[in-house]
Amino acid sequence: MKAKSFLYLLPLFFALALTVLVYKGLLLPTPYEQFVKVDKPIPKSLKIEKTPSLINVFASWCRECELEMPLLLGLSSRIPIYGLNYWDENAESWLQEHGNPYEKVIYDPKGLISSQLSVVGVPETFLVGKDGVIKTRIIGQIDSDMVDQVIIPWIEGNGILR
Amino acid sequence: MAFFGSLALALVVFAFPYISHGYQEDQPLSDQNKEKIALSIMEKVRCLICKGQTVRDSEAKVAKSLRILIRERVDHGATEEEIRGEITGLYSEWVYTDPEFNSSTLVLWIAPFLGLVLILLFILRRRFATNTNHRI
Repeated sequence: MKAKSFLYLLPLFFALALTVLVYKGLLLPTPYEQFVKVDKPIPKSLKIEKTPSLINVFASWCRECELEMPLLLGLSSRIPIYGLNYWDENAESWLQEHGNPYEKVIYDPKGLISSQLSVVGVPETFLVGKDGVIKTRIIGQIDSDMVDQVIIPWIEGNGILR
Repeated sequence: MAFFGSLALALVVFAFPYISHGYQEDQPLSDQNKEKIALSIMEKVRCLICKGQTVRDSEAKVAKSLRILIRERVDHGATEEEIRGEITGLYSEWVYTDPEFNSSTLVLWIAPFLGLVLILLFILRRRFATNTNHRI
């Protein structure tokens, strides 16, 4: 092979190297990569009684949390959703104003519980399997496409149509 | 007047060590040696949502939470290794500004040098081609 064609292969090498790094979790997902495979059990600091369930990290100061609320309210009739209230003091009044989809609100004023879930901000949503293992982490606001194409099929796949 | 002022100050100074969990309010640990250790760890952990900043100097909530976590662990006698293990377990090796050198991170370390070599090769080829009047 000529040296020149070898040069052309190098970008491919870099692309592959980057893929390996992301897969091994050595590169954090960019804002555009929303779904992260987790496969870790629920931390002990969270008292999650019902599984399968969702954990939604939210705060009253978070605009995107407000925007995804209608979707959460819709989902709450199909699966228990636990609200993890992140760095917040006004959850109660905010929930009264916007609706409360949560089975239970877990207060996390210093984000210490959330950091055990590797949370970096709000909103984030976790899909927790029947076995109490967190399967997937969704970073950022959920939209209706995500609900229809990912979350609801996952709920149905776990056999819990409510 | 001055007497009461100094009395108040004395009371505050003596009371301070007994105010438990100042680190919960993002305050330094009262043990200066421990605080030194905690700070050195904070300087090595990236703030994940604020490019270029470390957990030590960022005002982001995720950084604050990590500061509290680091101080709490140091206060309870955890070693730097244990704390590093916990944080990289949660946020991956990438979160440390000095990733370990092992088979997984080898590519991470080598990539910049390879990139440099690539750029140099490219430049040299072009110069060489110009000098000998060959078309590329």
